[in-house]
Amino acid sequence: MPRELACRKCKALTTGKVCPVCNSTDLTSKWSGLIIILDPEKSQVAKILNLKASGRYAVEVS
Amino acid sequence: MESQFFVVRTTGGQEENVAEFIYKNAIFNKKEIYSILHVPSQKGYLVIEAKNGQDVREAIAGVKHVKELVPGLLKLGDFDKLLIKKPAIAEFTIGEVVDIVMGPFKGMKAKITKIDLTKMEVTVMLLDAPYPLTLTVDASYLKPSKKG
Repeated sequence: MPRELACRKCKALTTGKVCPVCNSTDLTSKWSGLIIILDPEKSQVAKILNLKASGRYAVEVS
Repeated sequence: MESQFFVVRTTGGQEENVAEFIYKNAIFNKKEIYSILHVPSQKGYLVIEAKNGQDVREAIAGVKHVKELVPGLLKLGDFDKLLIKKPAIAEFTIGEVVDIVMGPFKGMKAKITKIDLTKMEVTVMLLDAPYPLTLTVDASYLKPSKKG
């Protein structure tokens, strides 16, 4: 499986050419760390990072 | 009840694979797991945010490369700084003495006179120069000067 790309705006990970969360096309292959949000309503991590949608996110994006 | 943070020790380098398996387990078995984190600087460890330890134990059961559930709980304040990286410019204040670490003035000390947050630029006055010399540089060119 090819390495996913991270959105520079919202840090969401995707295998496509458009970010599934913010629809940005500013994607990069240079990212590290992983945050998987399963329940954005109950997750404190989602709240402090202001993540509204469940899914996979990078911790650092360059 | 607020969520709790548990630490799971894994084989080094397999954190992301383990996170994926735990994610699938949690979805498939409907466990109350809210998030799974792997911070790059914490090799061999995953942080799992869940309602209780029982859900975590069940979600990691049988997952390859999981070594153990570390006893005890983590607080959000213990690792939130690892998740939110402030831009370098946010660390500086006007009047602060900094070291220039790049460019032709590398190694010199300077005092910050102006900070432009929109351009991410800092205007500094060189302290080592024989006459007052101000220059505007990118925030990445500067490092807080060591005290003492």
